Amino acid sequence: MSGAEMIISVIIPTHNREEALLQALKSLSVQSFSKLQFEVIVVADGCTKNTIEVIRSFKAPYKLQIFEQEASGAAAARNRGAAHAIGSVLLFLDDDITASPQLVESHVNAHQRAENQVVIGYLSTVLKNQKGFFGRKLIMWWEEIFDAMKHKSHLFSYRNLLSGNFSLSAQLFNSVGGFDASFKCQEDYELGVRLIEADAQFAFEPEAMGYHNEITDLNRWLNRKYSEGKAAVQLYQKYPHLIDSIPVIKEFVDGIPPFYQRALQFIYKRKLLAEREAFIYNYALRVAEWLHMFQLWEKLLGRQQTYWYLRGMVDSVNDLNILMNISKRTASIQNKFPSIKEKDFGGESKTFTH
Amino acid sequence: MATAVLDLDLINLPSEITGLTAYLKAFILIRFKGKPIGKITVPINNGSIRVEQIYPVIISEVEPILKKVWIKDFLGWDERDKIDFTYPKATIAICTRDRPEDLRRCLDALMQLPDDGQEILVIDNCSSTDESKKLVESYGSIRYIYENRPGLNNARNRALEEARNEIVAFTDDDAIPDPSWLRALLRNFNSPLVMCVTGMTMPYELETEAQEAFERYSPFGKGFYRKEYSLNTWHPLNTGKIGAGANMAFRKEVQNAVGLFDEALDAGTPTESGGDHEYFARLLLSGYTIVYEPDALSWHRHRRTWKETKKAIRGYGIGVYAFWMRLLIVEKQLGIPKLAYTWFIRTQLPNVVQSLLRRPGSQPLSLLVTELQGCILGPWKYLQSKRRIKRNHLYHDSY
Repeated sequence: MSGAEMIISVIIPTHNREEALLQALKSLSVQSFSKLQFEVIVVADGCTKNTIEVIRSFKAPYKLQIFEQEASGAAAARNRGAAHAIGSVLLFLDDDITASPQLVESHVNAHQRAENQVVIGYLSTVLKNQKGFFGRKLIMWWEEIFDAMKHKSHLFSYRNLLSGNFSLSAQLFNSVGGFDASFKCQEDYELGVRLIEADAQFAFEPEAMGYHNEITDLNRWLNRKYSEGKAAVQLYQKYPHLIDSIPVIKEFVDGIPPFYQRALQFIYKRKLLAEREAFIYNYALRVAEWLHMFQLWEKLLGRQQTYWYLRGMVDSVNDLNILMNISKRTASIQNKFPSIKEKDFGGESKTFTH
Repeated sequence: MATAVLDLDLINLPSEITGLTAYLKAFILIRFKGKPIGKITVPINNGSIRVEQIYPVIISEVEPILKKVWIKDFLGWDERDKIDFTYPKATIAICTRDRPEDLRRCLDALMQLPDDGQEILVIDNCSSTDESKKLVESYGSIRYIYENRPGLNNARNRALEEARNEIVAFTDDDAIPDPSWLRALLRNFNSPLVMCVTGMTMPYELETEAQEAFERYSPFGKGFYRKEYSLNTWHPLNTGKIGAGANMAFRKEVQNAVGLFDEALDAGTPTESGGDHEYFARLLLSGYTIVYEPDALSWHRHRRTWKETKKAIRGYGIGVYAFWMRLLIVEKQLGIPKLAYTWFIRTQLPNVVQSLLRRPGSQPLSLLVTELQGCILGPWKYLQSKRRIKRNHLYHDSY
């Protein structure tokens, strides 16, 4: 590294997806940013020997380090990568992201404009095999997330931090303590909470663009909902004051609605029956799609999603009463922090959303 | 007796409007700093309007929307503002057929648009004379293309093919776009999912009873609120409220995303209309967003005689059912019969009943019946149109 200062470290966690990863590494070979000023760190999380050989055989025109670890999740892998990084800025990419040629440069430029920033890049969704309704829904879902951040007056929340393509200074990352490795899903949201509490400035950078090779199909999607349900409870337990922003749980604030009470109890007591019902729904979804009935399909998908989310919530606690008592616990927390209640408007108290 | 069409801005209200002796009523478009916010109809006394006297009418019409518009203007905030937005370049396409007089008025209006490097393209769809061609040539900077396959949708497809810019904005030859029309449309192409933007259309003149009835029966203006339509927010097969072909713009790449306009639909074919609404449905079904933007204002000259108006309304009836027929048999959209049933039970039938009972504000019975006749014919007209195209292809192929 004669003379050139290492400015940015690109950290990519990977789990047995060598093909996608190779594409990602290749896309980093053709960056507009100087190859002497960035390094790439791949952390192979629970990968097979074959995968590691494939990665090692890649001839990179930039400094490339590869670390191996037992399967312990993307959060731990990112922390490991960050510990070995020497750049002053850390750029986290997922292994299924193909970088556009300006990606690294745009991240660096954004950090030069202001300090203490978290820069979130744009991901353009590229579908692989998903056809029909689900493919459409996926693209709409992703685009709406980024579209919201593109608004000039967007108020950033911890839920805007998407781990696929974002960067921050190594100093900021270390000062908040990196990722919480106990989170297996939504570890990015969790980091986002601490970054916002540390007064970091979130910014969206459309030019820091990557192509997201989306392989999620309906089963993976529902699996994800399951993990999100688990993560939601975990997030709530760590930060109870965020209750207003966590889907489903936010509806428990003033007592659990009867529908959720019944659904949670049913899922808790009759797991097998619920599973079978979900299985039938899967077929119903296919029939609805075959009949080209989008409205019906959407309704069915919504129910499936709710089921798997609740199932995740149920599976994350060993005692259902923990979930059932969320509203009581919240009430006691809100009394402890009276500042989050607003009493000046028309006498009725209103809860603020974080 | 005719209705005068006026255009007033709240920022710059005159105290009196005179010279309206030929009219008993006035249709007034109300704007705030150029932005259309409402329409009112007021009586005219002795050929003049004392503006002070219509204040109460203005207030009751625009109060709710003006609050929103005013506060946004005061704060300098706009929901369309995106951090990475730059105006895309546009091609304006006018599809015309044997209407040189209207075309001249349309082109004159387009000459008033600020020059943002837009290109103007006239697609002449089988005109019988070369008057349109001569007219276009007299402007110098306008491209003229002759499309010899009859049918408005063929002309639209040709425009998409010939356009040299990213956005293709369509206007009818009998429409007169406002100077800010194009920019207002372009401003909404601020997300890759926005594939189409439609604008608001107001009547250019209400000189005859037929024009007044048409404006009451099927106004092209779809309200003064901006709206985003997508699968998440709207029934994708119910596209009548989204906009109209006289005032709409697409990304040029739309043809790769959902295919071309169906040549069996719209003017110049047995189906008479429906090409625009069918295309909107296809866009929504594919997951794209359509934005309705009332700031993109254009004025449309409605048909002057009863005969033409009736034919147009009948054409709309045919068009709706023809494009539903296409969605049913080509796109296999099985929700169509339910939609047709709902429209009949909730809207068409009550309208006929109201009209028979001569309730105030009801539509003329003859128009309602004409539309129903068109609806019944629609599906067959679509099949007829398809057969005709097939025959023509065979005919051409054999040479």
